[in-house]
Amino acid sequence: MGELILCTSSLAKTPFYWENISENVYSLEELSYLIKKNVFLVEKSLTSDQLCTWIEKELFDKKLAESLRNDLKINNKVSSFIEKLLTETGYLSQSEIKNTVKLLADLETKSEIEVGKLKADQLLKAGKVLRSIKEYYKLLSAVSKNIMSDEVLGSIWHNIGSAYARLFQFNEAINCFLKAYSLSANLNSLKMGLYAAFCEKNEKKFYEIAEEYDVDTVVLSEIKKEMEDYYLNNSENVFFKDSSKEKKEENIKNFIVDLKKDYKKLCS
Amino acid sequence: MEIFNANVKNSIENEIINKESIEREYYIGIDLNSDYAMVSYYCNNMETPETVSATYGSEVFQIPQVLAKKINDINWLYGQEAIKAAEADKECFIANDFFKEESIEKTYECFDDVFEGKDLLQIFLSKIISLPSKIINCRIKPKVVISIKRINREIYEAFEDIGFRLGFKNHNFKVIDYKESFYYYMINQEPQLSQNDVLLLCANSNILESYRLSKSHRTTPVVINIAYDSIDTFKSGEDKEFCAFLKQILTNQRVTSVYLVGSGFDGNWLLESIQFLCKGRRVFIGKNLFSKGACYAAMLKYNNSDSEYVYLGENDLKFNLSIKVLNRNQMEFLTLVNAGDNYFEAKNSCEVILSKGNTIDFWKQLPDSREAKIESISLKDLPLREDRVTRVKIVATPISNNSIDIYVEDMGFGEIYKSSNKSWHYVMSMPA
Repeated sequence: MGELILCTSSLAKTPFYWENISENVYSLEELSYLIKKNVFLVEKSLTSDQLCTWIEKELFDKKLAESLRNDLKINNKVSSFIEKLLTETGYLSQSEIKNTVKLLADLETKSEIEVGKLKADQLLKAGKVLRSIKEYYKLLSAVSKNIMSDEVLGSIWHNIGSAYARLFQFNEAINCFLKAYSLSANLNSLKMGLYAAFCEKNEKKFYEIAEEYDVDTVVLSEIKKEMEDYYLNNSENVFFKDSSKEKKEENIKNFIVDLKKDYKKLCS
Repeated sequence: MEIFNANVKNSIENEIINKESIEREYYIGIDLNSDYAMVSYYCNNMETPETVSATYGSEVFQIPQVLAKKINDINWLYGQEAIKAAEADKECFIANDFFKEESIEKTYECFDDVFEGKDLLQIFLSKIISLPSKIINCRIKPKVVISIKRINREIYEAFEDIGFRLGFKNHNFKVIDYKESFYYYMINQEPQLSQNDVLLLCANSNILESYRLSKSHRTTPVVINIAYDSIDTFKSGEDKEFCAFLKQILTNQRVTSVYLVGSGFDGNWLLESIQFLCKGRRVFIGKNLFSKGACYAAMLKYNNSDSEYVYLGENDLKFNLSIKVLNRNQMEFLTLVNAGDNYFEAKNSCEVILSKGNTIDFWKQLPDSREAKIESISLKDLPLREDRVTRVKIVATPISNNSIDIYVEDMGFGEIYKSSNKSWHYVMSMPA
């Protein structure tokens, strides 16, 4: 049986812009949803007087705005502010609020590097690829100030490689994956490098990497077969489903427009 | 026999009772029919509402429903003044039928201007609404309730428009029918007067109307019913025939009090009839029951006062309509419309987020029943989305006293999920 969650906030005419995730927010319910999805991107820049003012002026909820401002004065903690906000909104369940607040409270005890990595990982997961690359490089530039294990460094390079691959920059992706492998010796990073070379349709590079890193021929064959099967299964597309030429052309046009939109989102 | 209007003593020509302005409470009740109007008023240093009389010391409360205007004069005359002016000046414009049979559709040519019936009614009402403030010197705008015999949507909307044009805020200017006025009058009298049924007989010319009020003690609050009947065999002055009629309707009936209202009971012809009525009952005779009832209605409605009684009139919704919602993680019922709300006025909306499905359950409940019927609406063709990312607006608009139009609109979820612009309409009824 369905449930109905009563909306405690109205819709704003002017949205609040959450810069970290590049999203416009029109209600507290939307904000709650986005906080849960992007908990590692919740930081002091969100829990600000600017948000309180938006709640007061756009959602006409002076009481909540004042309560949050008081919390900023007294506690000045992200977890405390968010707990109040989520509880008053009532969009997330009690357990979801508890888990979110616990995560935020844990983050308050973590090092800058740990928090930075979690933030960058979440950006990549959320499809904010370009921003995630920036965050990862920021982390790497902090290496000299903090000592990071080869394992952690390796995972950062691996993720940068994944990010470049999503942007179809396979050459850069290959370099990052190989760097990751050299640090962490994680076979997965090496495999990803080979996949990236295959995606670039650079057979020469593919075999060069295999030779340099002494990749087993069985593994190589598996990778090749996987990629070939993937292309085979995904080559049938909507263009040929319609018989008319005009319809096919229209489908192609729309497909390209959608691809461009998706790529722009990755870079936002 | 008792006169229920014995305390009236104010005159608009001579006396000002209280020179200090009354700041907080000021209510006006108006009885408006095809021939005249009566104005009762209450402010916060009075015990009970009082009624404006045209001349000092008299019990003549009726203000003739007449408007007049002399040529080249911008002022409107009303009531007796208008009648006198028209008699004195044959060229004077006069109108006395702008609210005949609760219809205001006629148009009038007044020298170079054309007026609709609604315009003249507005002018007449603006004149009589200002009467009490001349007596009690009150500066604040009153809250007004007008009582008429019957209401339909056209009349309701006309009065709503008049109220707006007279500068009254929403809900400070209401219209009720005679039955509802009778109800408000009775719940403000001593409880002993309505221990059993109460009978109100209203006589004007040769028309007799009866309103019988009864209580159903099965529920809390107590539900009041008012049955209406009209008798066309009545003739004013025929005491024997009237007495026979009273015996027919009252023998073996448990009626505690009887009210006789209207000009049809004027004169001293009620001899045998009164003798019969007074046996074991309280009897009251007068004219301003409906205007006082309207004034009591103003006092209770505008204060949202809780009452131990509830009356479901013809224009009142017969059932409650609710939905079950999670409000800050607490499950509760959200009532969209209440039984007893005037169906012309009642309209409510809310916004909810759908979770675990695309259906909305509506709970329909009669006020004197503990059980509720559930009617589910399925939002067909709603786009597939993850859970809890569809915000919908629900608007409940009553279209009669036992049916409600439900409108549901998909609002999407901000820029995360754009609205599909889909909407759904359903009509919910309460079967008898």
